[in-house]
Amino acid sequence: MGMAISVDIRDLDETSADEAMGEAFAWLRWVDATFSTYQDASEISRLGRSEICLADCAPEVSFVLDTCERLRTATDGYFDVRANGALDPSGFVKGWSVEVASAMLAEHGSTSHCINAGGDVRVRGVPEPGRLWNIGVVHPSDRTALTTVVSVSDAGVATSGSAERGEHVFDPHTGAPATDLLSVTIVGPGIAYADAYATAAFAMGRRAPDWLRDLPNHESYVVDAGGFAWWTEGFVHYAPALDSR
Amino acid sequence: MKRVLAAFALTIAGLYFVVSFRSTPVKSSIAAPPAPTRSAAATQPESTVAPVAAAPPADRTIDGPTIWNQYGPVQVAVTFQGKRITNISTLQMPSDHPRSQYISQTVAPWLKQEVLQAQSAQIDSVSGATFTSEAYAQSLQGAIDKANA
Repeated sequence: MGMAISVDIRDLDETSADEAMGEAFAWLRWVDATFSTYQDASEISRLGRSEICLADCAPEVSFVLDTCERLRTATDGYFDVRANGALDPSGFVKGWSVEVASAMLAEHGSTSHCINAGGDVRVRGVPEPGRLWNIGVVHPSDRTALTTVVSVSDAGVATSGSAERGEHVFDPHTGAPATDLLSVTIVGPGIAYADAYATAAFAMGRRAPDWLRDLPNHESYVVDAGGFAWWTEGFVHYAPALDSR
Repeated sequence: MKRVLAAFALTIAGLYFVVSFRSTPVKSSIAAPPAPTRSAAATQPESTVAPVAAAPPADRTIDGPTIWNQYGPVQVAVTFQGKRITNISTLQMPSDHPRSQYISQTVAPWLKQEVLQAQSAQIDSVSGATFTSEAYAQSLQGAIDKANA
């Protein structure tokens, strides 16, 4: 499946932006070739089939799998690279690759940009002096509407939901699709962990609020299957409009 | 200010293709004269800058190719002002299947929203709806390729 990635650079001149974008997209292409579970020849696919061992892979593969293992522990097993059977670290790779891409743009001097990879957003700095990035959160049952808007700088905003591609998040403890929630949105200092946590919280279902409440440095907004929204105390800092509801 | 839109396959991708469409957003109105823009296929990083005349170029709408997926045909039309995307409309979306009906109603507006809203002043980007319709992106890419040809 394809994914739309948009990169919005607000501060570099044409030449610097070209260089930065070239590097970022070369990186994303490499990540795709290495970690795609849809390409039989990718290292992750061959590793999953035990055709090669970890030592044969790029060092990033070890890093990713180590991090995923820590995430599995940190999420009570709900973030699991084998939740669907085959080895699939996409739940971390997507956000992580965007986090690295953002860092690459920063190395080229960009302190104001926004990357959106299939609905997971990483912003750096502010879009213009005097205001924050305004990131709309899609309503889980009406994709043409927004359920809330968060105003952020230097942050990752990840949303995990079920409606778009069918029930694609599974509870690794039961093997069943997660159906308690419609969507989980997490705002954190970066997009790699926010994305993984959102996936895990979605799989947790009704257990998610208790876990999210205690999650440090990340604030959450949850819409359950009944259409009710719940959010952490700190989330209203990003979405002041929620305070008056 | 730079804006680059790129549709391509990431880790969940079965098909790999890439396009990047760069433009300079116009501040308040899409009718304003565009600043110098550049559009280049990412697979050809060496391609040269395409200067744009100072006068606002006329809108032109280009139909993307019809792409078939398991639910049926998908085709979009992209409206350009110079090298800037100003509109994306859906010419064909499968509608004979309940699931496709849902996709037809919901997915197309999102990507359009993502492409267009990011150029508006109020909402910079949109989180959620990991829309991954390969067919939609392929048709979009085809239209952009045609525009650049």
